[in-house]
Amino acid sequence: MSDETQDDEEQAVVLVVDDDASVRDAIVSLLESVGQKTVAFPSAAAFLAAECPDAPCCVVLDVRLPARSGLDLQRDLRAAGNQTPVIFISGHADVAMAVGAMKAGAVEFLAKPFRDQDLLDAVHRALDVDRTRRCEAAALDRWRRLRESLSPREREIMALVASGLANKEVAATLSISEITVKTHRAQVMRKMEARSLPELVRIADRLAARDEAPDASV
Amino acid sequence: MAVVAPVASIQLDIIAPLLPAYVAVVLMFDVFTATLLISQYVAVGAPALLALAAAYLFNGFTAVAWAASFPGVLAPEGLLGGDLQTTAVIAAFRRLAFPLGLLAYALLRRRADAPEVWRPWSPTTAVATVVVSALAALIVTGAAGGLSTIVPKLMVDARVPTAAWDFVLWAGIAATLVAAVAIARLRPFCVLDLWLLVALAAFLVEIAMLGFLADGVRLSVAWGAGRLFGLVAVAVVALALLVDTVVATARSVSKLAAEVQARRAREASLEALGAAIAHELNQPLTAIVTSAEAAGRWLDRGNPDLLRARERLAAIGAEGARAGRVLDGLRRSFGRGPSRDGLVDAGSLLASVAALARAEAAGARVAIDRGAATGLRVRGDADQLRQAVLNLVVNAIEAMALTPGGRRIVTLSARAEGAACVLSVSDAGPGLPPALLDMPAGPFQSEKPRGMGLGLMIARTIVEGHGGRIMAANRPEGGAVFEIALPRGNDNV
Repeated sequence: MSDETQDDEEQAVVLVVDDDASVRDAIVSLLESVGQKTVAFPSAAAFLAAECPDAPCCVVLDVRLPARSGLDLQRDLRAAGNQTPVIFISGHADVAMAVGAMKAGAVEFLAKPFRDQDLLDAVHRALDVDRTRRCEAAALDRWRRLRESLSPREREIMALVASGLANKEVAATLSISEITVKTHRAQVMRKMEARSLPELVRIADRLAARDEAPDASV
Repeated sequence: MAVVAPVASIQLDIIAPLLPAYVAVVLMFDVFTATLLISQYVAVGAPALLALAAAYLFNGFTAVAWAASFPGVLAPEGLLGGDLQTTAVIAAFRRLAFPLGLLAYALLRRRADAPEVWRPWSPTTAVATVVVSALAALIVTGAAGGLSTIVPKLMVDARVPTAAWDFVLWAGIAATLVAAVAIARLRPFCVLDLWLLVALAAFLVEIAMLGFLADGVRLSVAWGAGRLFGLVAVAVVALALLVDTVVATARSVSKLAAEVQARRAREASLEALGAAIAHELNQPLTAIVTSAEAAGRWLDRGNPDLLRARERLAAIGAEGARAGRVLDGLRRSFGRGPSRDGLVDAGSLLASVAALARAEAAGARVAIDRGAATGLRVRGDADQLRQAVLNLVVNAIEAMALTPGGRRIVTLSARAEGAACVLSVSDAGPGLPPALLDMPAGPFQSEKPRGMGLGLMIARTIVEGHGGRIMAANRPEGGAVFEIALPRGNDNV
């Protein structure tokens, strides 16, 4: 994973949404001065209209925006299954508002004017969160593709093995011989690229968890 | 009177047995009236009301003594061990005491200025009024027997009075007329005064019927009818007070509610305004802070990017100018600009401040005392100066939250000091901490959750805008005093 981090460090993008051009420019300049790639938007609508970059990213979001507020935008993103981390910046540091934003999963809530280091730290943290999230999503995608290559019988056996049954019990459940189960299991492990039984169980668990929350697409 | 006249002097045996019931009703109405008057005194703090209460209490108490000593009512020769004259002496005192009490009320009312300002009531004075009335009634009752041996005889027999009674009769009429005139000339003339006049009229009719129609002869038809007018005299004020109290309570409750609501609305709009200003200024401020930090980072790079740093510095300049424009716009939207060369009468300025702070003062049980009009005038904008003084008064009221009830007084005064007119606001609170005494230049620190700092700051801005000064000091007798020195205008003398 650390290799991947190094690879896409240059491509990580910070998306800045603030309706005030001066504030927006200042934030962009600050982020660029530390070598951070940045894209800025004047409104929630402009942000939603833009293509989401295929790179680790986070949003620096002003709470007070014309039309849809920053908090509305955060809600929209979550509802659409977009897990991009959000850092809020707000001119009026309303405690209730900040608590609400943090509960909805914001990484940080900064009152304007903020210290540059506070914003940079928050951006750093948010990008880390996003990187981890992207790695996990990529792994899950790969496992899902691998699972597609399993035959129905192999899938059945993977599910039973993952639920903790021994080969003999699996054989009894499916009314087949233990030898057949062993052969299928070896096939499953090979196709799923699992190096050990515990790894296979873990992969099966993650896939099951993912199947239960189908809206959490990348 | 016309109805009674033909049968005026017929004696009715039925009247004597009714006397105790009559006296009981009179006493009840008198005590009732006095109670209402004393509670009005508690609410309004006008001592004149206590004179009225005393008159009614005395009237009620002596009515009991009068009936008790009346021959043939409770005992053949009357109770209290008096002789024939005792009852008449008591009656003579009652004739005179009631109108004199009302006269005392009228005189006290004239002395009290500024009736619109709440004054603290004194429990001692209220209790003393009751005690003195009761004592006076006791003394008159006790001394009546003794007095009757000194003064000329008032009664020929148990029913018929002597010529000396005529003197009492005319003195009573004179006192009633004098009291009526004094009350009629009271300004402002309130509802209570009107009903006091009605009571005096009924009292006059009573005297006339007893004295002329019945020729003073007791227990005659005219005498009994006259007593009924006496009842009217005591009842009318009680009922009027009751109605007045209910109406006034309802009115003041709704008025106070309206004042509180207006104040809240003003505070809410101020809060919204403050939030708007804060936001308008916060944006350029954020851009400035972040740009300055970004510029530093561009310069700190291994390979300093002067162009980007320069661009940020330009942004800082532009944002500073933008903040300035925000403030300018604010000033223009509020600034029809005070007309600071207007002439403002110091007395009416303080009066309007006292009126504006009335609800707040009444709520905090604080009296506002302002000295007599001086005719002094200051140069400036009346609205702004009123606001400045009002802020000081509101602070003074709040400063006395822990001061004992009787001492909660805000004193407003104006005096000349060379070319300046000094308006002073003093309280009896705990005084000011040393840090506040020399009126530091920055925003005032406040230990209270809301306000003291901002109110003072606004007051100072206004006063200094008028070329004046604000000074704060602690009074030697305790409490703080704030003084506003303003340029004097041509005095209104």
